[in-house]
Amino acid sequence: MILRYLDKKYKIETSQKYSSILKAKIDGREDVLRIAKNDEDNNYLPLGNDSEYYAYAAKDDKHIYVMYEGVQYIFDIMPDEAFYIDETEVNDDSHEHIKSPMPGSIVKILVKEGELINEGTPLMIIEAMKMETKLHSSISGTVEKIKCKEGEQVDSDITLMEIVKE
Amino acid sequence: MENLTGENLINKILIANRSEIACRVIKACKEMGITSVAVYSEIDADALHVKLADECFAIGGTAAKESYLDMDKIIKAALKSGADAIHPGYGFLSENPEFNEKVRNAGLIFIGPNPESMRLLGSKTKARDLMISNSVPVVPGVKSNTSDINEYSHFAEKIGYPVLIKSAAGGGGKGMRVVKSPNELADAIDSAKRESLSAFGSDEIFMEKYIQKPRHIEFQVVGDSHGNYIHLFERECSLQRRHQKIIEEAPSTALDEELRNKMGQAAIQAVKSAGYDNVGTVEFLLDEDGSFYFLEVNARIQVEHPVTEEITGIDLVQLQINIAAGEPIPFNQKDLSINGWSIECRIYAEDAFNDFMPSSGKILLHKAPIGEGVRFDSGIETGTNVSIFYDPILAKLIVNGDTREEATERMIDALKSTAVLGVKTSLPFMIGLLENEIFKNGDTYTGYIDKNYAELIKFDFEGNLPHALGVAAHINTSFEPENKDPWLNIGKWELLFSKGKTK
Repeated sequence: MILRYLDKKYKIETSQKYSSILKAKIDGREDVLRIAKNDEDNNYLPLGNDSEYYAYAAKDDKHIYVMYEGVQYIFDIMPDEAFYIDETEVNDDSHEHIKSPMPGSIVKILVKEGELINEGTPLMIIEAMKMETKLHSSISGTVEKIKCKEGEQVDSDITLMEIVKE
Repeated sequence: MENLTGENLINKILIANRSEIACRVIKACKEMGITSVAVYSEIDADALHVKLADECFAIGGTAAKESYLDMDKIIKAALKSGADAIHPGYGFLSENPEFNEKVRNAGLIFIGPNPESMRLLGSKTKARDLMISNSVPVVPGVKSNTSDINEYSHFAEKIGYPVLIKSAAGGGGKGMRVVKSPNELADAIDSAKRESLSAFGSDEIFMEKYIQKPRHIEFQVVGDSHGNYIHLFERECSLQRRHQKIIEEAPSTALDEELRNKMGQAAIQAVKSAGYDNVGTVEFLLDEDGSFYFLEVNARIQVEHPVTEEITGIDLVQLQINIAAGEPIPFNQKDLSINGWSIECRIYAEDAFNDFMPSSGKILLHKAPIGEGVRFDSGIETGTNVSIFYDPILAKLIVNGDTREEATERMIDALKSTAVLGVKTSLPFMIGLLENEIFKNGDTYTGYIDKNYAELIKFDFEGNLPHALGVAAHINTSFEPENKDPWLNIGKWELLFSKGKTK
């Protein structure tokens, strides 16, 4: 399977002889990881790691979440072919997509469609949990499309605005 | 609790709050044999505090002002439920003197101080004047619009450099200047006046002593309606991000017995002068030279009250309820002592590595920490929805130990064994902070996290990444055993053998 963590993709090959232990190889490396599962307590123990802590895991449609030693790793589940696609070709860097960093409500939109903006221009204010956050442009260019309205509730990772590079 | 005629005064309490503090009050009610009533907004219908309470009332809309801040709805629910008293928790309506009065006017007991003392202490300027006239030290300062530089320089010499100059009318850092030496004074005053005039239409400025590396030290105090006052020692709350506390401990490494007594007496004086009559907190700034200054009084239970409970063995929420029912404080100052050390970490739904950005969503899996000396005051369970509408505090992890070192070790251990999956939490940032030398040495001050943020977020995520990937692969793999005979499925044996080898 292919998982992505912080923009980097990892290929994991697994084999399993017994239900409790999974053997895993990451990116074709020599060393084989062995992960034990305790069905009773619904936790995992990475073997061969000098740690006394159990790991916990959960998944939804898009992500797998793993908590190990107080740290949560959030992995994006990728289609199997994803590993072979060179992302630089797919990414069009003439555009910037401004995405919501968190679920929240749009308090104020500070620019208009067609407006020329500089790098660092504040674009909108989004509010969540009594805290307001300003979203800024990381490029200079033109506001091509505004895809949200003031007062609207948005999920995280939704494209709110598109900027075309100068 | 019984009054003189043998009747129970408080048999049923409505809790005008949500999340962990509502759960905490419900726990105190259960221990005292009092019936608890929860209120909840639309989005909180399945929240933990609603499940734990004996009874519950829907009070409407999701936004706080349509539910947890709606005084009339809450009082109506209390009357309908037959409650004798309302506990306001912290935040929301807890320090609102108008709510306090309305509750009493409805014939209910408000679990907190009388509204007059709440109003008096709630005003920054009135509280400052009250403290000055009662010999409680405040940050020395002077307000003036004179153009005579000598007046300012005379005052600055008296209180000592550095001094802070700010607009008397303004806020938000506008017109603020730190002056380190006499030759910078004239320029700073001129520019502060100009900035103040253009921003706020007044050139009146305020000059006060600038405290460079203050600690936030607060004292837990208790007053009753019989004129008794005691303090329950200090809490060290210097570790803050965006002026909000994230790790607290009791006692503080900065206080010796002499300073503790001095500050404790000042704290008692502060609440006594206002006629305060319940559990409360007096906040001070402590300078590096041991001078301390009154900041404000929090007229309610504090988020960080558990660390005081751990070192004194006193249940502060039960004490609040008993005092509100008219009981006197059941102990004297001389009965009280500090036992061991306690630390609290606030677990927030936020991404500490991305400027503490709030996080929300569904908690897919939750595992509470366990271990010796561990206490977990929580408002969450697996399946809880963390919404964007309220404060991002999820739970508080509290530990105690015989020494600070033992408590710290237990805390790190407990943090590493906690699981909250699906939303981002401050757990890893807490671990990094506790493992930092500054914390180990006890040399914290209020600006520490802001100043050292870049350093503090250098956390090693890579070391355990391969194992985490392995675990992720495990949960994603559905296993069909080739041989269904359970006697041949010897996974557990291999696990035990391997564990022995790694040790």
